[in-house]
Amino acid sequence: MIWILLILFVFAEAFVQLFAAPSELWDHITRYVLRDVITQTVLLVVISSFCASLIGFAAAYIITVYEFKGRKIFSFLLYLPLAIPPYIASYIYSHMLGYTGLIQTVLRSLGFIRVDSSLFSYSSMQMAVFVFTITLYPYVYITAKGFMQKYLGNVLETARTLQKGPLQMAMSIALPISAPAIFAGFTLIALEILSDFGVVMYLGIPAFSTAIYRSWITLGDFDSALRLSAILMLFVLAFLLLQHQMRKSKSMGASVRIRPLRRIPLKGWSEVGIIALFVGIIMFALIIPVGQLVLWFNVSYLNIRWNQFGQMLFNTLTLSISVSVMIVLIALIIANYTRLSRSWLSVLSGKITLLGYSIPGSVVAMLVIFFFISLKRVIPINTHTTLTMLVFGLILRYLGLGFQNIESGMRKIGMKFNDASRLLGKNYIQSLVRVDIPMLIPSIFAGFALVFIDVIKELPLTLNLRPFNYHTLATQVYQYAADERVVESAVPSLLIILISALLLWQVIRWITKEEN
Amino acid sequence: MRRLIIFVAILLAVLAGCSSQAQPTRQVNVYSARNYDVDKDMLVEFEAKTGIKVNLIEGKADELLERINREKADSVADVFLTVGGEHIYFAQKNDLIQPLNTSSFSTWMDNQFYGENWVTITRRARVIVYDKTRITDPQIDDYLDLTEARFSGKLLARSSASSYNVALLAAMIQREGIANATQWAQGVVNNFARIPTGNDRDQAKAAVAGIGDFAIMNTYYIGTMASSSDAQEVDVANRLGVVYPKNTHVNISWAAIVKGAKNASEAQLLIEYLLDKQQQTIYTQKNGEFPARNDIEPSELIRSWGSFEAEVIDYEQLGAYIIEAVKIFDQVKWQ
Amino acid sequence: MYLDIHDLSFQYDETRLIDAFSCGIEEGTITAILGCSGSGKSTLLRLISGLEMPAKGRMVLDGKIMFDHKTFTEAHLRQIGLVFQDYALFPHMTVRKNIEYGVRKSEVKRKKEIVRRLLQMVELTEDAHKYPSECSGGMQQRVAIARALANHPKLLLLDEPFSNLDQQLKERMRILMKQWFKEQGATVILVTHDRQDAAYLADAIIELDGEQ
Repeated sequence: MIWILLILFVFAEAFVQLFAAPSELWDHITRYVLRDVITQTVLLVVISSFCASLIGFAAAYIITVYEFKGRKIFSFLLYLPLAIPPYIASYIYSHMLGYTGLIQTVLRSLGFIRVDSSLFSYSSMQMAVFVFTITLYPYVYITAKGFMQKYLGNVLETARTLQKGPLQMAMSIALPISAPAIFAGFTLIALEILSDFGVVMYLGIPAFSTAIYRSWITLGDFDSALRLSAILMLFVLAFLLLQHQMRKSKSMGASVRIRPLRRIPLKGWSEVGIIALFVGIIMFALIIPVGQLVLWFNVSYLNIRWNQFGQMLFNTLTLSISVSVMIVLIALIIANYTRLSRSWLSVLSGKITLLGYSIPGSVVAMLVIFFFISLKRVIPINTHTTLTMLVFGLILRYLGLGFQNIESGMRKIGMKFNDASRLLGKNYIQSLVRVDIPMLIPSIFAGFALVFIDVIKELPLTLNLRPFNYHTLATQVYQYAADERVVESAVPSLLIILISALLLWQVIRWITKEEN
Repeated sequence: MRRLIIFVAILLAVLAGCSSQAQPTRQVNVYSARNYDVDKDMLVEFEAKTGIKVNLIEGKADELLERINREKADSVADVFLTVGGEHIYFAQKNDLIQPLNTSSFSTWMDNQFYGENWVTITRRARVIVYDKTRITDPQIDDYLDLTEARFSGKLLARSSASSYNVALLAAMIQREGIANATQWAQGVVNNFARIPTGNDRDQAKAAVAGIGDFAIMNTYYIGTMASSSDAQEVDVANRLGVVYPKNTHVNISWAAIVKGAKNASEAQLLIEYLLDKQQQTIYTQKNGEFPARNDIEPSELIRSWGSFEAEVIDYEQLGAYIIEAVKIFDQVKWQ
Repeated sequence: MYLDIHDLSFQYDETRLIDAFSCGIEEGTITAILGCSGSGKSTLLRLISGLEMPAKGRMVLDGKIMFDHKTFTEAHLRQIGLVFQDYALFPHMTVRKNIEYGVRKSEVKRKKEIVRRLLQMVELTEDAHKYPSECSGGMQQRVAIARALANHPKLLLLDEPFSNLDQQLKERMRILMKQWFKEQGATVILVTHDRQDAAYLADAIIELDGEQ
């Protein structure tokens, strides 16, 4: 509860701006910028989230329902694109399709001297949609897969006896049933795109985050930036509450007996087709970007500064792990509270945790700094040489991500097992620790992994809130990428992806062990 | 669960331990928007030479300035180091920087490149580039030429969200007035080969690829492309011809002592160190920039582009035109 | 009276409520509460067990006040067992662990012995290592009953104990349950909509009106 209040305090500065007299520039912003920005943002968010959700759902469905060669490997590899920061993917693909990129270079070396570059032209919007789709679909893949594995068993077997075709089965049964899970993933994707700054800036798309940044950075009007952020947060909050309302009216009976699903073996051409589809997805979302990074790594590792790399690695790991652990603990406490109390206040406080995830990180960073500066007037604290500010900011930003996972897990469990435990003479806390939390372990691990992967690649907060001489792999990526030295940024980028992949691998092993 | 708690406790202890190291006696705290390996090496060397510990926070210029501004007297920053002359206005208006000792600068620096409170460390020029193998005589003398009809569908520039473009237009407003600057921006937009996308390097690559003929870009990136790890980028850099237009816009990287700096004398030492001949040579040789000093030869690559006549503007006032510049960009729909 | 409920009232949504329910039950008896669906049977059990707080009324069990206008004993302190309609077995624990979980702290030393006997009674000794998801519905119910009995409840509540069983199994379980409860001397309340089940098992029957 205290945490929710803290969040509100930090964001208060932005909301206050809504009521302050608008600056002279605000008029300009509303006249020339806002309409374009809103249409472009809505377009980008809707199309990308839709494409990503479609791929995420399809992949999750096929992996859950069918048996084919390589299913296990695919089911793991499909998670990994999450570890690739979208802005790195946008550099990679723009570069690859560009004049100095692999495709045109190879064509030229094959003797096509004048390769028509327009063959490889694309609009910024197409590129952005593509990049967000391939890097963010895992959110839906994760949520939908976890859900379908648990709740699809009985229903699908019934459906098969009714002679439904495979597509019909997916669209008319699996899709509506797993809609809440898909929507949860969809929300995360949408929020991630809303708060993205790197991709839209690089590709030159006038999105909300660039507008926020522009009114602040170029126009020097931070108040207008805060006002824009506040508007964005209000929209997000309204959207989340609407979604909550929809989910409530459609909530299913939770007493479906969990029955493991028997997979349908695929044979012949359909197996080949499915494998080809997955190879395609993995190719674009993972192998090509990582392959490009490996090539770049190979040419650049001698040209970069390796001093303090060990320290950097240590910082990256300690920061990501400790923030993720703390988020999981706080999320557990809040999720427990929202489970106990069904008042609108508890619903709202659950949604508030997601606010920090919806606006550009640099704005969150500034709000955290202001918050600490005002705090300093009350209690003497050192705002410079400690990690407190950074850790606080990161928790503020990513709490919603962990919370979503843990809360949905808790909602699925409900109070039933806790009730049963209390009737066996254990008090509430004992029941929570001995019954609910062990049952929640898959959700907890999943929440931990998602937060970890986001924190490890996080940039604006780390950049702004870190103490002196504190570098992480992500700040190292930034250093090169901001200097347009994408090739050199391959080394830290690859390390980030590698660490994330290792963690995912480990977490997935734990989860499967827990679930069996 | 219990193991988890112990683990968290240990982590917190480690983190706390890391952050409470004893402070050395002489130190200087640097907020830097120059996030380059070259600069880091220099700071390490400065530490070794003087025994003054350098504490570094890197970030984006505007974010660092906003932070100093909010912290005001409480700020621990001593030196502010950045790229982009337009920030001087904000820093001075909000009283964020204090006078430094400029007495020695006049002998080797044009006086438009330093002020009472700030000094240029390095310079870059915003120029027009083309593919030498395709175009022999670009016939461009002035930025203003770019609006001519013969360039229709041939110009490449990055988005107006780029601070380089904003500074370019702001300088133009300062020199030519709002009306002319608007006309110029409109003319350039009319001649675009494509909707602005990508960064500076991408504009050069697009020019070589033939998507357009002429690209507006910063010389710094030609320099860094020439020393890229990627052979293809080196190739692009080698094919670029450079036009220095009349009144070439010069983008400066500058340093200042933060108002109320607790280590002001160390800060002065550090800035002087960066202006030292040796460091200035490194900047131009290794980082593709023009030295701030007149008495240092630019790198061979830079010399190969010929010489230029820099625009004469008041850098302290450049930032005052930023808002107008952004408004113009929005009006002419330079995305 | 061993259990005495007086004037118990509760409103659980806009339309349905329990109004002034009263009853008395002797120790060691089996009582069936009979009512059609929607008559508030399950809610009544939740109120008796302490999972819900009544609007008014008074309940005394074995001489101790469970609730009245000023006291409310928390569910975990009441020593009332409840076998849920869907059993609510802990899915992450084996059959043995589930039953062990019910054993009281004061009897921890005798844990093994208690569990062994209960497993034997419900004929699950062979299946003690299985997880609930590997058990049939009938087995799950037996685990749930054993788990509840492990806690030596002063009062055992059963919510629709036969709704998830087929006819054959149901008849067998009826016989077994009656045997177990009498053997353990348990005081039991079960709610059901099936008059036959009630008639067979119970020493006394309370009818709950429909839409009260």
